[in-house]
Amino acid sequence: MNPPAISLPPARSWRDLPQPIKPRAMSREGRRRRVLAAAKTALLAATLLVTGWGGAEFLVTLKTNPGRLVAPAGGTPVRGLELRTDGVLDEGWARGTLALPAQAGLMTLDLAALQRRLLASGQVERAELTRQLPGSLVVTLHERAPVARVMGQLGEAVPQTLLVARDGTVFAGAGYAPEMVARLPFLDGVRLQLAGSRLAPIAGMAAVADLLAAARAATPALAHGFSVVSLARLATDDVLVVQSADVGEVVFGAAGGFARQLARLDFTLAETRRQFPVEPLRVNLAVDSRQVLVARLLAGTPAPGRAVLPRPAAGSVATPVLFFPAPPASANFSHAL
Amino acid sequence: MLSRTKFIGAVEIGTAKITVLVGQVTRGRSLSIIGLGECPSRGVVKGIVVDYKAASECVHAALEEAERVAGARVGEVFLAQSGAHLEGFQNESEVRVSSADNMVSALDIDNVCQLAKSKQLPEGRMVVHHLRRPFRLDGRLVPDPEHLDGRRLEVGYWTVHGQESRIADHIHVIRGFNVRVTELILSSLASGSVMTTADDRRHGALVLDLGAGTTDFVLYRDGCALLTGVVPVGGLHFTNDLSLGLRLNDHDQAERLKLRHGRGVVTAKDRAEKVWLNGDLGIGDRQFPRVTIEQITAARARELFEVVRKKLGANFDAGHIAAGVILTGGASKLAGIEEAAAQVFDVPARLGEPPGWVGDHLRAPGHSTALGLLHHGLGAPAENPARRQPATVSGLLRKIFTAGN
Repeated sequence: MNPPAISLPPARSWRDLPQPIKPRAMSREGRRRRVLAAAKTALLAATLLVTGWGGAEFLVTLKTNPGRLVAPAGGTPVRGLELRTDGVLDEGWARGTLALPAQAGLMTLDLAALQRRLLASGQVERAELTRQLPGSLVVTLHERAPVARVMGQLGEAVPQTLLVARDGTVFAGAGYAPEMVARLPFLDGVRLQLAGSRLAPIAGMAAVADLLAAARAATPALAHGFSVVSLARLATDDVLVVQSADVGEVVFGAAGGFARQLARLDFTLAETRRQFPVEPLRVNLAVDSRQVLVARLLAGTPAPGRAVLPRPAAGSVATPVLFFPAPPASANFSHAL
Repeated sequence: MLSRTKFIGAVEIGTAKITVLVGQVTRGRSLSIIGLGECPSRGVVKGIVVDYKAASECVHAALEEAERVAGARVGEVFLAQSGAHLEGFQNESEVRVSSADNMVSALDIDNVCQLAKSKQLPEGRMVVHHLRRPFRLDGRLVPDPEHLDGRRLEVGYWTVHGQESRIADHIHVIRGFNVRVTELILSSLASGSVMTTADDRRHGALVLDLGAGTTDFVLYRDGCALLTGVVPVGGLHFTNDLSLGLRLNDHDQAERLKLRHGRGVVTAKDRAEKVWLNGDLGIGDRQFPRVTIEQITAARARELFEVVRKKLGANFDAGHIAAGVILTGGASKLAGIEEAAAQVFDVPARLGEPPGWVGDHLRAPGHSTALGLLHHGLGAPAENPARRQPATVSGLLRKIFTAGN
């Protein structure tokens, strides 16, 4: 539109009056409102400034280095890895398992994928990964404790010794001292099955773990001699059969009460050995409250007076004989004898 | 304000009382009156602030009360302006249509409007309103001449101006509450906008707002405000006349007598009929002739209307006031005052009735000005501007940064 052809000075209007007045001419409520209004204005101005600054930064970055906008902190590589664990795994294992690229950006890491890698080993029960600015990755692990070992084969690989945790998870195991692994009993009577790319958990390991834990706590000498734990009769008879160096075979009831069963075993062995010169072959602790010790008389030993089976023919030393060792009057399980 | 709902205040600083209304305007289309605050006035004489501190206290008390009732904070205020310092003059101009095909353009309209408004005022005076009258294109009345065919475009303005210091005092009283004055509107225009219909204004009407200290009037013709004025006479003069005439020392007694027995015209026939001053037969209670009271109030009413008629001068033509005289304001509660107006102006007179959307508690004539202010706040332009200025970036920023005030 063209400018007006007539340009005359307009008369002064009331709108030309300056409205702001001095604070001392205001009432108390007016001053209070003025302060509030100033605060609101300052907040609004600050918001606009920050927004403007952010916009300008965005535009500059977009123009100079658009890659930073995709992953603003991705340019910062992972400078360090901090491992926190309650087990035996070390930082080298973590680095190897995570397999982080050399120049991986901290913010570009797929933490969920890395967590899956850690959990795939089986030895790690829980894993938590945290970015710690400016450039550290913190890995917190909760490891499974091995209870027993088992020979297994994954695919075409050479059969190897695998470890089994209380929850039945089967894993290769890393970072354990060989002596500690050698002390673990083998499992028998289990059938390893593949579940996807991993072995399916073994059922009944909780009972095994409880038994071994009770044995180590109550009768460490006996526990040291446990070499094989068989689960073959667990499903059918609810018993665990242990091959032991002290007794040929011990049958434990799997329903619980391992401490009591171990005490009975310990007592039976001690009493039998005290009364008779025999080599224990088999003890069944799972039947009722009684335990039956099957032992072999050592050569040249007179027959025990309390044997219930006919004495074996001379030279037939392998014939087992049942013994009923007399318990002391103070024994808790005297009723079972 | 940037939001769709805003809270506006309407403030009338009257001689007898301060009235504040709070309105909630939604989307600029609907208005809800949500708060009322009133306070007896101090420091105001004949609509003019003479004691800043006393007037501020009263106005701020009324504003606080209205905000408390409304439960909202007022962001802007529409302020009524009255007082005998307000004057007006008529100013006309004409331009020849610039286009070769004689079609009136926006530039022609702007030119003729600017020319009509460009009058210098004496020192210390400033414009309150430019009230535009209808355009005339080759002598015929047209509401909007743009794109019409003609040769000569005329327009007239009624320019209302007032004393700068007194206008500033009014504004500063409001600013003392830290609220911005958005519009300054004549009390008469505010009252007239709610007490008349569009038909009343088109047929011609005279609105008299009888306040305590002043009487504001506006004359409508052809749908527009033709002229406005203020007479420094109001309801308090009736009371003073009774005090003097009946020798009453107590102003409140005279006020009660006026409200109970005063009339705009004398109707009492029996000169012996007397009325009690208080009616409680207590000490000091006495009797006055009813006819005397009526004579005093009727004389003042007649004189008031005659002063108004004289100020209207030749602009008042009974033949062009088909809608008659409409009375409003607190002093219009005087019985029979419409009869007095009808006798003086020689046209039908009636008491103004606010529109139906006004609630019962606001239908008293003393609230008409504040109601009119809110009506303007809804969007009714006070001056019928020919063209609104387009929105500018600086204006938008100013709105943003004053939103909190």
